[in-house]
Amino acid sequence: MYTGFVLSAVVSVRVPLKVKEILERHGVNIAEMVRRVLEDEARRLEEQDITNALDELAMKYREKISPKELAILIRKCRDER
Amino acid sequence: MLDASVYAPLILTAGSKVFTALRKHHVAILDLTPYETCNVYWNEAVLHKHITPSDAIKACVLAFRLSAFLKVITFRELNPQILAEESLDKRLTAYDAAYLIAAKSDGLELATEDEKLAEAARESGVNVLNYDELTRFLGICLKS
Repeated sequence: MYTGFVLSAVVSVRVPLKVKEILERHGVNIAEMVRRVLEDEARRLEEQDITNALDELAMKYREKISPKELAILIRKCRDER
Repeated sequence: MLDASVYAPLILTAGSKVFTALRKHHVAILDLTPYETCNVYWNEAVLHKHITPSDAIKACVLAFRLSAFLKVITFRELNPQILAEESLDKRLTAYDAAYLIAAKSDGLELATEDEKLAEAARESGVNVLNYDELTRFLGICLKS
């Protein structure tokens, strides 16, 4: 059965030795921490990008596009396919 | 659960507030929704020229990127036997039947502007919202 998988990439980060020693002394899982910070930042950037793009489109089309008109087009597509 | 007839106008006209609102209310779509949505933008750009081709591309990409923040119900989660039966029994396209059985089996309300789908959903006991009711529910003001 296909269960899906997520492609991954390796990211190497060079930090001062002292920083690594302190983190290790405190039992910090460095890989997990770096992964979480990078994922959070990627998500934040993606959200920012999406919200900006949504606002840009709305400025242009809010008054011009009617949901009813789009619904008619979608019905036509569904019935024709 | 949103079908493409409400997902498409939300992306094109509702602005950034829709992003927060959709996530807050745990909104679901089908995996086919972004494709249907892109089809309608293609129509609007190429046939009707109501939107520019570059904005159609932008909106289409957004339809997919936004879905990463929503619950996406895939065809693997739907029962093909029930889908086929509903489709034939109610004389619905497979697309309509997919929305209907996904909403029904997960106990979701269905937001659609499509009268045919709305009617079939009501007959099946699914609560239906149109676009205006959905935006009121989400608390999105669409007037600038």
